[in-house]
Formats: sequence, C-alpha cells, structure tokens
Amino acid sequence: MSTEALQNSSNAFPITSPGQYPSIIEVPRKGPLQNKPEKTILQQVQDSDSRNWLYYQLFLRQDFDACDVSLATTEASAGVQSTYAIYMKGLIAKRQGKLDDALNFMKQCYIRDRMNWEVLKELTSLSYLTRAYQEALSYVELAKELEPAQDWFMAHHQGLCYERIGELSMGQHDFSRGFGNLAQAVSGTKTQDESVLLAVGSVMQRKVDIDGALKKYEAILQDPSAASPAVLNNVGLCYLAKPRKSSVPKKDNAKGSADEEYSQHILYAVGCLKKAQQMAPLNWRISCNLGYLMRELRLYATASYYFMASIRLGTKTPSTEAYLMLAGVADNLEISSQANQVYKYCVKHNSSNDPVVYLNYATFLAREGEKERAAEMAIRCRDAVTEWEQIGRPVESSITEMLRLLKTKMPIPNSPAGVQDSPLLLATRVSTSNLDITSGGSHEVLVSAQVEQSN
Amino acid sequence: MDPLYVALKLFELRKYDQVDKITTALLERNPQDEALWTLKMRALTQQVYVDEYEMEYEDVVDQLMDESAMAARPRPGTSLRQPVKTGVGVRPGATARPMSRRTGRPVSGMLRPSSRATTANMRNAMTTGRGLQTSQPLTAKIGRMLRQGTASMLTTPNGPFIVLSRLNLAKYTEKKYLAKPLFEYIFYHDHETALALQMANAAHNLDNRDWWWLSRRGLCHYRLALQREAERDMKEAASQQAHPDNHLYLSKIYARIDLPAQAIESYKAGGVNFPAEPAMLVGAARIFEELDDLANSTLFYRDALKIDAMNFEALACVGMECYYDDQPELALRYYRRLLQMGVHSAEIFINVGMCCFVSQQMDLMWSAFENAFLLCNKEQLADLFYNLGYICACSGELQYAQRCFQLSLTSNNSNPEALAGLAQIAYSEGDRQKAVSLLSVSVTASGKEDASMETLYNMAVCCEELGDHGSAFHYAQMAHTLASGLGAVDKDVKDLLLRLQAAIHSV
Repeated sequence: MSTEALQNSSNAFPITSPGQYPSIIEVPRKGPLQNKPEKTILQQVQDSDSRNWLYYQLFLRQDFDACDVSLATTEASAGVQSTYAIYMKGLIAKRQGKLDDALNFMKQCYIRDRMNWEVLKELTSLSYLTRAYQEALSYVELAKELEPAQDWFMAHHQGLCYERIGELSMGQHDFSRGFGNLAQAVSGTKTQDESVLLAVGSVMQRKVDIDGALKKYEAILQDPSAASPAVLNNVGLCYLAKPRKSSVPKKDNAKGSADEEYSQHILYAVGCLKKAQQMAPLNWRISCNLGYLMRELRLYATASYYFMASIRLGTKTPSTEAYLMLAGVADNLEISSQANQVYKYCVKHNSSNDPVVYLNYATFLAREGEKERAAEMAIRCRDAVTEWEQIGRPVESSITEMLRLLKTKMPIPNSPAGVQDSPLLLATRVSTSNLDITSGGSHEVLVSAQVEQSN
Repeated sequence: MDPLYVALKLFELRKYDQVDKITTALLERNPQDEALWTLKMRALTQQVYVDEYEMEYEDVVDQLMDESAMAARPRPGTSLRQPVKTGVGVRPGATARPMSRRTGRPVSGMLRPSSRATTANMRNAMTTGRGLQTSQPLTAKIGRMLRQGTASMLTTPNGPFIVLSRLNLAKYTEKKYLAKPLFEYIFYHDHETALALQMANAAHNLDNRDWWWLSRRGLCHYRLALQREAERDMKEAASQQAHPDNHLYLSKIYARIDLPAQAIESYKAGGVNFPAEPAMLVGAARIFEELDDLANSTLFYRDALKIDAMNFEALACVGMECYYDDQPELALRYYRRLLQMGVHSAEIFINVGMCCFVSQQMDLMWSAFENAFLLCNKEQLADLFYNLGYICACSGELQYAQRCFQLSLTSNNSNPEALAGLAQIAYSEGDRQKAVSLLSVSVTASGKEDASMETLYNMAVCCEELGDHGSAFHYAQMAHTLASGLGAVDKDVKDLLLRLQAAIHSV
C-alpha cells in the first residue's frame, strides 16, 4: 500500500509545472490519510480556481496585502498559476499605482487567454494611462475583432487616445449655460468644491455682484492651503471694484471713514494681487491687473512696468488692452511721442475692431492738437460702433456718450475745417471687460481701459 | 614700571597674548607667585571663553540617544523636535513665508545653530556632507571642546602650564581667591569637565550658600549631558541669587530637554527680575520662532529692540517678518539700520534689493544687488542669481530669467529653486517634457527623501499632463507622504492624488 502511494506520487511529480517545490510530495503517512489519492492536473487547476471568490472579496475590501499573501500561498500549494490569479495581481498593482507591473501581469493574462474581454479592457486602459496610445488603439482593434458589438468603454478610450495623438483642441465654453448649471450645482447640492465656487464667484464678479463674489471666495479661503493665485487675483479685483461709498455731506467724520474704508480696500487689493503675483510670476493677467491698480493709485511709472511685464509674458495671447493702457500711462507720464507710437500699434493690431481703441486715440490726438487725424479716428470709432451693433456685440453706453461729445467738438464729416480750438476737457470712463475663462475655469480679469483727461 | 602692573593693565585692555608673555617670563623667576599664576590662568581662559548660554549645535547623536524625551509623538506646540504643523489656521497666509528646505520650519531672519536642528535622521546626517546645504553636524562638540594640544605645546615649550593630574585640588579649593579662576581654567581652557565637576562639588560642600558654585556645577552636569541634575542645580542657584546668567542657563537647559513652554516661562521670570536685559527677550523670541509662533516671536524681538536698538538678531528677524507680512518699506528700514551699524553682508544687501523690488523702488534695487555681488560667496551667489531670475521672471523677461537661473546653477548645481524656476518657464512655454527632465534633475540631485514637496507636486502635475499617469501617481504619493510627514495637509496635493486615483480606477 505504502509503496504504491510512493509510486503514484513519483509519477505525478514530473508532470506538474516547473517551479514546484519538492516539499509538495506527500510523504506517505499511517492512518486513513494514506489512502488519499493524488491530484490530477485537472484537480489542481480546479483547486487553484476554487479560491477565486476569496481573492475577489479581499480585493473588494481593499485588503491588498492579504490578497497578495493568499495568492502566493495558493500558487505555491496548487503548483499551477491560474489566469485569474494573475489578473487579480494586475488589478492590485493598478490599484497601488504600479502601472508598469500591472501592464506586465495583464499581458501575461492575455497570452494565456486571448479571448478574454475584461483583460483586453484593462490592457487598453493601462496602455492609455502609460502613454502607449498606439498600443491602446491596437488593443481596441483586437477587442473589436473579438466582439463587434462592444460597449462604450472601448469607444471611449479610442476617442481619448485619438485626442492625445491628434491634440484636439478644447471646445468652446458656452458661457451662459455654464452659469445656469453651476448655479444649480451650488444651490442644489451645497457642494463646497472650490473650483465650482471659484467659477461661480468669477461669474458673479462679472455680473458686478461684488459682495456675493467675495463671499464665495471667502468660502474657498477658509482653508489657507487652498489659496491659489487665481483666487487671490479675483479677491484683489473685488476689493478694487468695491464702489466708494457716497459720503454723507453733513458729517465730516462719516466722509473720513468712507475714505478710510476706500483706502483700506485699495490696500487689500494691492496685498492680494501682489501675493498672487508672488505665487504665479509668469501670469500675464495678474501683471496686467497690478498695472491697472497702480494706475488707479497714480503710480504711473510702476504701472508702466507692470504693463510691460504683462505684454512680455502674454506674447502667446496678445491683447490690445495692455497696450492700450500702456499708451494711456505713457500719456499720463507726458511722454506723448511714446504714447503716440503705442496708440498707433494698438490701432494696427486691433483685430476685434474695438471702438475703445479708436476713441482713446482720437481724444489723445485731439488734445495733442492733431485735429485731422483725431477726426479720422473718431470716424473709425463710429464705424466700429455701428459694426459692433450690427454683429450684436454690446457697446457700452459710455462709449457712445463719449463719441457724441466728440462730435460736438469736431465735425465728424470729412471736412476738418471748422474744428474748434478749445481743448477737450472731458473725463471719460470707458471700460470693456474681456470675457474669457481659461479651461481651468479659474481665471477672471476685469480689464478696464480707462482714460482720464485732466489738465 | 612694575611688570605685574603692566600685565594687569594689559589684561584690562584685553591684550591676553601679551599678558601671557609677561606672566610666563615673571613666573620663570618666581614660580610660587600666586597673583601671577592667577593672572596667567585668567588670561588663558579669556582667550577661549564662550558664553555658555548661547545656542549651540545639537548633534544627531545627542538627539537620537536622547533619554529625556517625554513622548515619541508629543502634542503639537509642545516640542521643538516636531516639524511645525502648517495650514491649520496657524497663520492665514501660510504660503507667505517659505519653509526652509530641510527642517520643515519657516525660514528665519537669522541663521542660528538651532535653526537647522530638527527631526533627527541618522541617515541624512551620514549621507550629506557638511557642504553647502549642511543639515546637522554628526558630532557638534568636538570642534569646541577639544584641547588644541599642538597649539598649547607651541606656546608653552616646557609642557602645559598646569599639570592638572598633579594638582592638589582640595588645597586649592579651600583658597577661595584661587578656586574660581582655577575652575574656569579647567572648565574652559582644558575642558576637563569631570575634574571641574569634582572641584565644584568640593567647593559646594565647603560653602553651600555660594550660588556661583551651584551654577558652575550645573554647567558641568549640562556638559556631561546630565540635564536633570543641571536643571536642579540651576534652579537652586537662581533661587539663591537672581543673576541673569542663571535664568539664561536654566532656559537653555529646558530648551535642550525639549520643554519649550518651560523655557519661555523661565525667560519670562528672568525678564521680571531684569527688565532691561534683552537676552531674555531674544531667547524667548527664538523659542517662539521655532514653535512657528511668529506673532509672539516678533513681539519679543520688538521688545528687545526697545531696550537694545543695536541687537542685530532682533533687527534681522523683525525685518524678515515685515518683508513676509507685506510691509517691504518697513523691512527696508530695519535692514538699513543694520547697514548703518556696519553689518555689511551679502545677505543683507540681497534682502534690501528684494525689499526695493517689492516696494517698486527699482532704481535703488540695482545698486543693492551690485553691492551684494561684491560681497557674496559661492552659496550666496546662487541665491542672488536665483532672486535676480525671479525678478526678471516677474518683469516678463523670460530670457534673462532663464540665464539667471542657469547662472545660479553654476554656483550650486543642485539649487532646487533655480531648477524649479527653469522648469516653470519651460512649462509656461508648453514644453512639459523639458520641465519634467529639469524637475527630475532636482529630485535626483537632492535625493528622493530630501526633495521638497513642491518639486514632487510639480513633477506629478507635469507627468499627468503628459499622460504618464503611473509616474504622476508615484510622485503625487511621494509628495503626499512628505506633506503628512511634516504634519501638514496640502489641499492641492490631496486633490491631485484623488484626481489621479479617479483616472486610474475609472473602470
């Protein structure tokens, strides 16, 4: 009996897979266990698969270490590597962020079982995640051959890969619809996600609901580590945009406190914007805003420094606003030749045909005494306004108002003969806001080209 | 003139070398003259005297073998060993003051021995040489405590001045006029701490109401790392005689055994007795700073300045606080004061330059930086070029900025800030691959354990944008463990990690 058992085990031994330990040879023992029949290959395979439920459960519990251990012990005792075990190992590696290991495991799985849809799925996503887009696409092809009526997953990843390869550009954002959805998101679910808050805040800011926007930003800044340059920038602009409270004329105290409050706001704005610039020195929007702020404070030289910086930084996204304000600052600094040059540049590169540019140049020229060219610019401004109105772009009332005032000072029709000599003593406040949200949905700039003319 | 009188006069003038020469010559003629003997001892002691209450390097061995630690994980704010927890409402602008690279504490206005020592890590100390970015010395005391054998041989060709082993200590301890100078000679000049302790013990037994011997015994205990005994001695000495030194020693001992609150209390108690002593205020301010209580620290430094307007540690620290508190104009005044006092160092000129830049005084900025160029050494040159690069980047001169960062790298080829600046420029130009390679240089140069959290985070972001989710996840995890190791929770890092997890496990 015992000799037979030995015979059996020695027979069974050479057929098992390589790497098996000799310890698995069962030493014949006395008692009923002696009669235990040796496992056939089929049994071993069944054995190795019999604990699959356990792996899956452990995996679902995210008990990866225990899962690994149990995989290793079964493998050692069964002597046969089951495909499912390798698949499981791949999943665990993926969970733990070891994407290369995961990819190797999945490839092993694929070699063993070329008909497995799930393995192909994992291979596709892993290849995509490790930047092997062509490989991912080839797996998608394989999957199509395997099962032509496939689910959305493959198509989705195919699309993602093509996007990566072809670098498809981002679609345009639909601004107003976005606001509707966002408002719903915030009011409905009370989510405190700061990117949503930031986007809502910036929209509110654009709609000149300054206090509301500030509240949103304060909610973000509850967590000091969440302070981003975008938030700080917007907060700074909010403070800047806070209207100066109309002081009660009766009491001097009230007037003083209003002034104090205003200067406090300006200080906050400077602090926020400077910190934002400290955090993101390469952001042209922040530089531009700082320039605008400095201009508000009548620090024209500093303002010109920031505008120059903004222009240099924003070479990829050239905006006429910075140039226009630089021209204005040069004008303030009484460097009229420079101002003239920059204005000329603005007019030349005014791709969106913004009437503000012509209007500012016209007033500048009128003040410099070049009436002919001023009139010419005024005409271009008028044409631009009509063009904008035809397209349906909003033209601020201050522009038309200013244009009307210009008309009273000089005849807009072609003959420049009867121009009055009196200089234009007009304080105009022309503002445009450029509406663009970056793909992060995080930036917001209120750029206003403001031209003040005083003696 | 009587040569002894000359020697005494010279001693008053602190010309210790000449005193030594005269007394040596006189002693050859009359070896039994006790006055000469005392004078020579004091001259020799004064040459190597150090204020024991000043901060000193705490070496890694001391920290690792520290038996006085109360708890392995002390509560926040009760220990100097733990890195400071930021981001939890400590200060609203937690981003304002940069954290120093190694210690996980905000940078200080003054480079002090203790401003480097924190979380002991034997491996770090072993692997980093004491080069440009010194972490901590492995053994700190050797340099100061070792007797300079060869030097003393040279000055005294006939052997050492006093052969301590042949000295009858008991006899000299009884002679009060000789005992104290002899003790100081043994303690400061020969560094024979055990012998000094023996003598202090004997003297204390003779007269237990003399606070001087108590406090000296405390010093001996402290030097032998018997901090609890030292504390007992110092406490008793302070109760016998409210001498400023006693309070300062006591606070130092408390700081050493990691009881910052006690140390501050002791400084405050000293301040009550000696309201015009700035050392107490400066000491308390230092401890506050190491606890990252910068508001209190600045308060104490300001108080110290009211008493002593020439204290340049206080000036530098208050200036630094002003700079990071968005008051560059005020900071400029403090730095200008330092310059007026004649402290001309590259760091101060660099700081002045930065203050000028932030307060938009561009014209003054350049002359400050020019002065800094004249004064700086290689390490400072790296910082200087980095700052210039930052200014250029702010002004939109990316070409110049790049050049400055590269020059900074030539002085210090693993300057993480400069590498980060270059990477940022590459990133802004859309060259993610270049940014990744620059950042990985930074990571490999400083070693994975020492890479800053920001570098790792930037690396992860770049990798993610390149589509390499595996590496991105890896780096984000590293950044996260680093941040949580320092006790901070950075929202950006956490968000990134969650985002990557979502991307990887989307199915």
